[in-house]
Amino acid sequence: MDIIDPKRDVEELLPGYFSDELGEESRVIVEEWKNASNENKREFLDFKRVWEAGEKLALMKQFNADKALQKVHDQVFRVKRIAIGNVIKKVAAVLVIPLLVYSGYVTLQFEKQKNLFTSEAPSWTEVSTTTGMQSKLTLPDGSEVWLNSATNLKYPSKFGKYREVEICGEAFFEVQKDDEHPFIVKTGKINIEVTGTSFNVLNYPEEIQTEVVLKSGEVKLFSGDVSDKNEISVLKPGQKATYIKNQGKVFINNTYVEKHTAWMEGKLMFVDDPMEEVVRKLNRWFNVEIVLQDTDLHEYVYKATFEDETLDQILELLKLSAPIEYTSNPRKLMPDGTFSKRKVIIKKRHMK
Amino acid sequence: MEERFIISGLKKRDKAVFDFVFKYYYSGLCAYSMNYISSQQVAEDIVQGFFVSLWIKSENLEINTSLKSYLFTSVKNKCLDHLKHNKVKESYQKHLTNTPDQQEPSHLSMYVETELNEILASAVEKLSPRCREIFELSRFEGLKNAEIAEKLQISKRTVEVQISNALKLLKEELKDILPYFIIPLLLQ
Repeated sequence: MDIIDPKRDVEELLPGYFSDELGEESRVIVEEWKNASNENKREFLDFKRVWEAGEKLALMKQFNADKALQKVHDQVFRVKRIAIGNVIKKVAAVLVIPLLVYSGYVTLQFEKQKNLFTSEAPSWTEVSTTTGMQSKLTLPDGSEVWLNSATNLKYPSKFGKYREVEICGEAFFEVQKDDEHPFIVKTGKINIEVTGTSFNVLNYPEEIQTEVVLKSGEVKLFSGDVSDKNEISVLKPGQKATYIKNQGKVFINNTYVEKHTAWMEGKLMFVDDPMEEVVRKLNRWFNVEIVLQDTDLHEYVYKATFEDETLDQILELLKLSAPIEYTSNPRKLMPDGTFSKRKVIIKKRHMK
Repeated sequence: MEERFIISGLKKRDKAVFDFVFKYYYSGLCAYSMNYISSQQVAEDIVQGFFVSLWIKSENLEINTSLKSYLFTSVKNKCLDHLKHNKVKESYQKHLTNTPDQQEPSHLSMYVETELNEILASAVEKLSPRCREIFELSRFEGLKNAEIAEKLQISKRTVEVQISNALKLLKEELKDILPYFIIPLLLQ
């Protein structure tokens, strides 16, 4: 015997109703039941909510919180450039006036190599910039080199078969084309061979990595001596090679070249750089000693371009965009009559 | 994490706390925004924008309700601001008057991915294996009843009866949270 239960009939129609698969006749049955009483309406709503719960969950799974969080970090830790007056511009300009320390002398470590290329012993020239200074010079072959702060470049007064230079620090090279005489930049473990091209080399002893960024042309990376090369890779324009010193590994990836050459125009540019790197660059740029006291500050990422800002303005901007505070110790007169660096300590900001 | 600790962490701009809150509520806030905003991209932008302002204004953060309620209410206001800005608020207001009376969200489990997942998963487990299989194909994988029938080589009617049984059982299991599960686009 069949028990007629109209409610049960309606319940069995609901899955079809919700997924819009019912014929007109059945649809009307559901609607009539729904509108018959407030109680039915409420029950219909509950069914619909259960029906939608799964969809809601499926919808939520489409949102990628990790990716979104990265976007939010980019915005939160971005520093907006501020407009500044002419007075500061003039003062800041002094910072980028090239100051060249020339000292031509023969170094012992080049003694061996020089005999390979020339019969006569060339004298080696060493050019250095101090912290906070930049410089540009023309090499004997007409190639041009821009030196960033705290950088040392060694080159022979006369090139032989190879045009060989050695760099410690950061420099941008614009090399004269000469296929007969390859231009070699030595950074220690990794060396660069070019014929005519422009590129940036970052090779500071305190950094854990050496970076080569190619703007135009082509460069070859190799290890070992020029006469016994061990080729690593060939870089194309827009690419960056990163050599991790303690791992002995080289990574090649595409990069934003302007970020690496902004320093030549007197700009400090950060594009998604961690706080640690920002601090190292500021230290060299301003000849200060900035110390990050809390290790979890290291991971803050910055996007900013500074041109004429003073160190204090930059620190204030950093403070606006990250939960930090800083204390500054003025330069002190040392026993030997020189002044110590200005020391800035950055800490996490704690609210009272 | 305890609520008080989280709120004070947000005020102190503790990055770990901020990231935790973001990851925990992000998908739910986006899904909730989509009750007001039709574009998924715009909904995400609104939620991200809200979190950016939360970080910037964190020092002056005033939360008198629960954190969850604060987040959802704020995001809802951002959505309404967006609609107002785009001069469609009026039509939305009209639409609201056609929907059942809505309380401020006080219980939002339905909009927190991990919580909803937990509630639903434990409720679905109580279904018979066949019933559960059909329900999951329908609700989680979005298959039509006819498609499920074809896939499982059973009649469409069997599918509908099984889903109907599942709905009834789940309605009982979820009855504590259902009254707060807001569906604005309902009962036109």
